[in-house]
Amino acid sequence: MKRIVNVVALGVIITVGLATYAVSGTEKETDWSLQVESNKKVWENRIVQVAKDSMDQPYTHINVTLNGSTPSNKGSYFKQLLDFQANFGEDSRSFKRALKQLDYAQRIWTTDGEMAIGQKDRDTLVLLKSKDGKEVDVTEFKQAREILESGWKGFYVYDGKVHLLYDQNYETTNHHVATFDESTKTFVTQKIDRSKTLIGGVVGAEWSWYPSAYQGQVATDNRYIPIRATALETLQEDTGEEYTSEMDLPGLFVYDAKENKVVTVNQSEELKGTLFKDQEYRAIRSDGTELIIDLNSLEQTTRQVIQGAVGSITYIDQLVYHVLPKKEGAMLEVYDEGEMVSRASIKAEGDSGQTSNQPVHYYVY
Amino acid sequence: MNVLKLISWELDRVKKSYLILVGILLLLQFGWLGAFLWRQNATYEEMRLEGMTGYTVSFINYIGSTIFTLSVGVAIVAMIFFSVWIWYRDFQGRGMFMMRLLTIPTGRMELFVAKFVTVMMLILGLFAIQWMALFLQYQLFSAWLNAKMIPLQGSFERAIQFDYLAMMYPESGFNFLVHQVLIAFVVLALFTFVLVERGLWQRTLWSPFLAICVVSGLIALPTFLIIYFDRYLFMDEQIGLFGLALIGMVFGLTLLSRRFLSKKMSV
Repeated sequence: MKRIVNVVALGVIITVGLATYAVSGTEKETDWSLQVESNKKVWENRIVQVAKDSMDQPYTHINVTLNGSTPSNKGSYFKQLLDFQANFGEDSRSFKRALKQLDYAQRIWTTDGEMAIGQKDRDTLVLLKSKDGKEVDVTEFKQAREILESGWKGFYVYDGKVHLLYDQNYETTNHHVATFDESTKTFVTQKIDRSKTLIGGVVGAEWSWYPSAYQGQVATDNRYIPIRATALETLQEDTGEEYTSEMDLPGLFVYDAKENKVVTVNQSEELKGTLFKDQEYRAIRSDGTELIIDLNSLEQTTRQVIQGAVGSITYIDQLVYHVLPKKEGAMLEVYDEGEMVSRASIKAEGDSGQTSNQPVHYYVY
Repeated sequence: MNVLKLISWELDRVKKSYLILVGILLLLQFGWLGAFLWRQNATYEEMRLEGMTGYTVSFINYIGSTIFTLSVGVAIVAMIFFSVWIWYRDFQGRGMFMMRLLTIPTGRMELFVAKFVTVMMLILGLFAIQWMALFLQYQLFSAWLNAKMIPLQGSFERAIQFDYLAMMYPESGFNFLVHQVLIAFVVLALFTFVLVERGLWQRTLWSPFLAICVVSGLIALPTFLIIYFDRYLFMDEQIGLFGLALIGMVFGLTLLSRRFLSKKMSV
């Protein structure tokens, strides 16, 4: 025994240290629960993320589902691995794998399946198309340097062809459109009429290969393509130095794919949430009405959706998720085509007094 | 039992320097904590006299400070140095203690295991002391600020998620194990370097250089493989590849160490 006293001593120190770690390192996370009053189905694959604006809490968001709450980006590496595998089955990997190999790529989801364009090497532009995510059609456009050395705004399909809006040579005000012909593997470019606004991006075109819950499945024959519009504004710093910055413009803007120009549908109105799906562009206004724009005729219709106060809105696959923060937790409603289909609430269990003082943000995924 | 005795003996030899290291680290941290709080106090008083409000202090300010980071750095460097020194010290002197060690009947690999466990225990010991010290430091920190009525911002839980400290405070037992395995891998690589170098030192002047080439080559090859395949693979596949590469490297390093220790090394 005397001969191993050192081992025992150090062992004791380590054990005590581990105990301190176990006590001090554990976080007392508040448990949240999602209570659904009607129609559980619309909440089945949803996550309500609770984010607190507080220095006193560990830097975590809490993901609340029907099964309870878990802190996000937490837990063991092993569990993260299993979660990833559960979300990405073998079936959906071919297209994403092809997409990951492109240096600079955008992706849209259409009624004809997923599509992406991206850069390969220095002068080749690649177009990927996949109907089911398994089989991928690859078309390469050589000598596309002109487009590759430009700032991309986004792409869309019109008249059976893929079109890309971009800033020629990264010049902010020099917007062009490129039209790709897959059969001849060639493309033509053309300057567009930006109608004094700048295109910030095409709605629905995502930069990441990672799927987004907010991406709608869009039709491929829309004449008007929803865009985010921006304007250059000159700002002054405290030192008196002036600089220009691109600022998002409020309102709804579309790009006319036939006439190649930007069209303002509705300017300087605050919108709570928008959706581009099929042939429609939808938005919830701050008074709770839903505006629906037909993307072939620009015909507008409105209908009353939310009665009373309007909180934050998230469109997920044409369902409108409405979150209205309350003193304790939040009230949640789901609307489908203007009709309320589900009502639920989310709230912290236990020490609600502590959490109610802090600003809490809710996001639906 | 033999291994246990060997470990105890190794620990006994290093006890004094280890205690000195721990002493220096604690002195550095607690001394700096005192100075830090003193300075905060002075700044707060100054601000208060000038009528400015909204001054808050966070534990992250202390953890992120140069001197605290330096103390952690000192510990890391000391452990890296020790992983190498634990072998080289036996080659010191005219009699060369290694001669006796290599001839003990328990076998040379037991010597290897004993030294390895010793290093890992000492590293874990430093972790343990830091866990306790940091917890104590936070108690002192919050008590002092409360006494001086300086607004304290942020909790201990939030502070320990700071940057590299998250390595010390993993979120699950599994993650803790993964971190320890990565540390063990570094120690193994250092051991292999020493054994290759000592296996060749009597034959060529270039033995340190050769040893570095062998060990870094063994690590670089799978690393390049991982980097090359990175863009073709998804997260789970990447982790799988990384795991395989790690197992391969551990296997390779252990075999290499074993070969040099049992066959090539002479004194």
